[in-house]
Amino acid sequence: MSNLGFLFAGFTVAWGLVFGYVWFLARRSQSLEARLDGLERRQRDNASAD
Amino acid sequence: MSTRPSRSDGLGSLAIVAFVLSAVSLGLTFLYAPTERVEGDIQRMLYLHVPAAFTMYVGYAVVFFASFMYLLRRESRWDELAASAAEVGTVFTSMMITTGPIWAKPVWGTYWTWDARLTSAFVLWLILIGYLMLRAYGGHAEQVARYCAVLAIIGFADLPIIHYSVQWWRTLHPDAKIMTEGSPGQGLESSMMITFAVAFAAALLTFTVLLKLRLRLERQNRRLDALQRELTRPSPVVLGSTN
Repeated sequence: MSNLGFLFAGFTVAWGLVFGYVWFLARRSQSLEARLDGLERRQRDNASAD
Repeated sequence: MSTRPSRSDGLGSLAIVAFVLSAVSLGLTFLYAPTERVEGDIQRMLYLHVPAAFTMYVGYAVVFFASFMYLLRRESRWDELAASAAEVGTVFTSMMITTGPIWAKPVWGTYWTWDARLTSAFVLWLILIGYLMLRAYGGHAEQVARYCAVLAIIGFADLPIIHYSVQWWRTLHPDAKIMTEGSPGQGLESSMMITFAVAFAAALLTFTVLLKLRLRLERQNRRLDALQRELTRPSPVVLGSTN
């Protein structure tokens, strides 16, 4: 691999790590939203049952 | 109690600034900074690898400070900060650990050598991975927070070892000569220094954005846990009620 090949590989790995982590955070945020929706639904059900 | 995220902390604007600064840093790295005489184009890895390493130091310093404050005050906000900074710090440590060997191969002829700088940096990465595993599988929340704080404080001893390893021992890894301008062959020339400063600012800003984002998620997660506990708590038995 040429020097430019190594350079390209280095920057790809670094940016890949950052974007991969942002994607991971977005997934986690979606799962929190889903949990929150579930809890809100449950709270409404509990309130209507009382 | 509202568990919906607050959008008023300026995170969006900060993320845009971080993205623009990172794009400017990339432009300066490839279009403005001169090609180094000895290493050639691969020396441009400096603008990626060294800012990642410096940001790792900052990240771990935040973990250390927040852990210390947690043990002192036992306030969950310090534990939230430590947990978030450790995760984001792991991203930058991984960046440093992976870009180093990619830079080393064409310059040293090998991806990895067990010299003091590389080994101590690898140990820090292992400490962070251990810290995250303890968070994920540790058990009781309060106990995990305490154990993690202790681990982070003990692990902090590795930072000066990483930094001074190139002076204390004979290593293949060069000593950083970024700030020592003036004498021939040492320090960076002005265009390289400007590129490095912008790259470092971009890395720090990216770290700040990711930390704020991760911290927001951590707080939402804990509030949801509390809400869930409240909702699943069995309703109190009313004395005197008949079945």
